[in-house]
Amino acid sequence: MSDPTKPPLTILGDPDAAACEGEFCALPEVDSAGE
Amino acid sequence: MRSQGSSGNAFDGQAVVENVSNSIKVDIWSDIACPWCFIGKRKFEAAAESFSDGERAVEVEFHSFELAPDTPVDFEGSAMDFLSKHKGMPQAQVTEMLDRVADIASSVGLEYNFDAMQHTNTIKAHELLHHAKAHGLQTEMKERLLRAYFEEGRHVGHIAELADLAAEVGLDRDEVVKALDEGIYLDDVNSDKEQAMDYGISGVPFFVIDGKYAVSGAQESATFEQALNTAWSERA
Repeated sequence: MSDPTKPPLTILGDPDAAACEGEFCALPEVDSAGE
Repeated sequence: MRSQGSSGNAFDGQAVVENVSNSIKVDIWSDIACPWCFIGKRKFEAAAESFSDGERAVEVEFHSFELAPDTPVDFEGSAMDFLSKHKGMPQAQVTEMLDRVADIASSVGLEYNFDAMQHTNTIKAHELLHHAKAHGLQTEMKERLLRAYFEEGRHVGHIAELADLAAEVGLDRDEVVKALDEGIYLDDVNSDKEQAMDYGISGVPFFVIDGKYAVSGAQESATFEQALNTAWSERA
């Protein structure tokens, strides 16, 4: 699927924005979300 | 906002047919059982609505990402049980955290009901999203699945329930049952997961804008809009 001719993605925005990683997604990010 | 191959208005669960050249393509990796994905979807939609005008538009395609592929279809217990057991946290603490997530969801117009939520495996829901995409109804199906899971306590792991939800958005129920029984779209789900790995995606929601920029997580609408404008400005 990957195209080696394409440059890597440029990441924009807050690196600490609430997201889900693994099955516990709702929990670790709560403290930093919606503040 | 536009989605591939369907028609309607922006931000009412509908989309449009035309694959217009003046649209910014946004590929979104997400899961159904992902509270931040639904919240992030709302924030992104607000940004896309603000961005879109007569000259430019946003074209969206959803991609599959399984947060917990080992989850059984028929998990015994509530979402609370699942989280507290796996996280090893007191139920009161989990309750407090989920209440906060629900409050944030409420701030973008969503009414999460963690008490009614039926935790399950989402692989069949992802297959259904690919079936819906093939029939020009992916945007509608995605919205319906998220609402069913987070707001209505519907079971999105069972084929029969998924077929009912699919019929609500205009898909042929019998065709859905056949497609999910036979796993016709399983390769497409796995292809999405492989592409996510290629991109280095470890968390969702994850937004890829015009194949150049990425925004991770339930960012503020202003962040999404800025990213859309950045991608657009490079086309000029």
